[in-house]
Amino acid sequence: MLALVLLGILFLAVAAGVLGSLLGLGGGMVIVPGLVLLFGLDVHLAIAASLISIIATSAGSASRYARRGLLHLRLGFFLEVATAVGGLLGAVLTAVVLVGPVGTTVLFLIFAVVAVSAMGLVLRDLRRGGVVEPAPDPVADRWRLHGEMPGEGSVPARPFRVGRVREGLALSLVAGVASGLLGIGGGLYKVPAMTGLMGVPFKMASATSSLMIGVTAAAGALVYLTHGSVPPLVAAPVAVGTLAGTTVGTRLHAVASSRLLRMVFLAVVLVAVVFMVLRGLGVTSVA
Amino acid sequence: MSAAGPSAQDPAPGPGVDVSRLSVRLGVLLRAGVVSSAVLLALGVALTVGLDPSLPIDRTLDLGALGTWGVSTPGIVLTALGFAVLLATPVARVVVSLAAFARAGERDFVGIVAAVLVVLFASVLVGLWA
Repeated sequence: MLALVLLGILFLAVAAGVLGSLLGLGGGMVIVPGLVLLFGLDVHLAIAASLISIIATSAGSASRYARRGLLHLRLGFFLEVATAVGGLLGAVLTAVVLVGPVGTTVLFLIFAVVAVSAMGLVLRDLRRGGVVEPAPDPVADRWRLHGEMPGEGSVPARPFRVGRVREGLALSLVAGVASGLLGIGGGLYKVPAMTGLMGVPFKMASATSSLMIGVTAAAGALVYLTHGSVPPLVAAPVAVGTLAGTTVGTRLHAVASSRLLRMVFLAVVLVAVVFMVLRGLGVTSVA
Repeated sequence: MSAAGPSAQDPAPGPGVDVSRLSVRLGVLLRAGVVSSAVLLALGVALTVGLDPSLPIDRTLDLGALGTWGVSTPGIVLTALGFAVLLATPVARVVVSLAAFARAGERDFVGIVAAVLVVLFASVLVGLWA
């Protein structure tokens, strides 16, 4: 029976890994609701297990994007300070503050709110038809944050300017808190922040987000692990499964269109919102 | 410097980090870390469950009490090692980057990357304290 449950968790994780690597997310938006609703796991443990797996997703995806020159390292490091702080804060909130029946209900509702807000950010980006061109930003100049999208095939390399760095940092902090709080990578905020605010092309934003979520998740996961809140029999198959999923997902990333990726993102998040609201209102798990 | 202004690929005043080369190096590091951790985790869980199939799925890991897992202790030790390698991977990525920026003389980014390392270290302390 335990072996069957572990296989089911593994399958869930593979699916989450595919989606996560395609969208620059950590798959947590699929894993946490899946573990809670399908396997009856306590949401705090699901969040801890999800954060562990997000590190695997990040490393697996980012290692492939690195070879293709899609990682904007300077911008990634710059924003990571904010996301790492946020990840630590979010994990403390979930592990220590939001406990018990009331805290758990609050967690579910926060998940729904975060997901809806992320959908709004992506929709705003979609209506603009893609990447914005921000106004000149002296902070970006000072820290050498402008970049160049590498050429692919007949498409030449394209330089771009980064702007609205302060807003990007603020949103990165929020992304980090969401990560530690809810067991997600925070990419659902980071990617729209980089494309819709800062002017980074979507594929580079998605790839850079994949790199950043590893550190963000590590900041939260270290809190859970040293606090004794990680269920190893769940976290291990989730980590292995998401890694397998990213192997498939990153191969699809090269041929998938940016617009299609964002549409898939919206559909996935909408499903997660529905399930988590139902759970927060007292709908029991399927298992 | 390109016509669009300074870019991430342009070196800082002075030598500057070769971002492309660092990126490839980090990719190799990340891949090695995640693959080795996945092997340890897969073997660890398989051994744990094989030694004791009656374990509850939601039992949590106390790093200071691995011996309390009874007959499945060897498996859980392997699993814990897998988690350690996995968590060390992004940390190692930060450390390698710190060294690269330091060698290139980019003190501003040394500060940025060092701040990330401090936060990760603080996470360990906070978890122990909480």
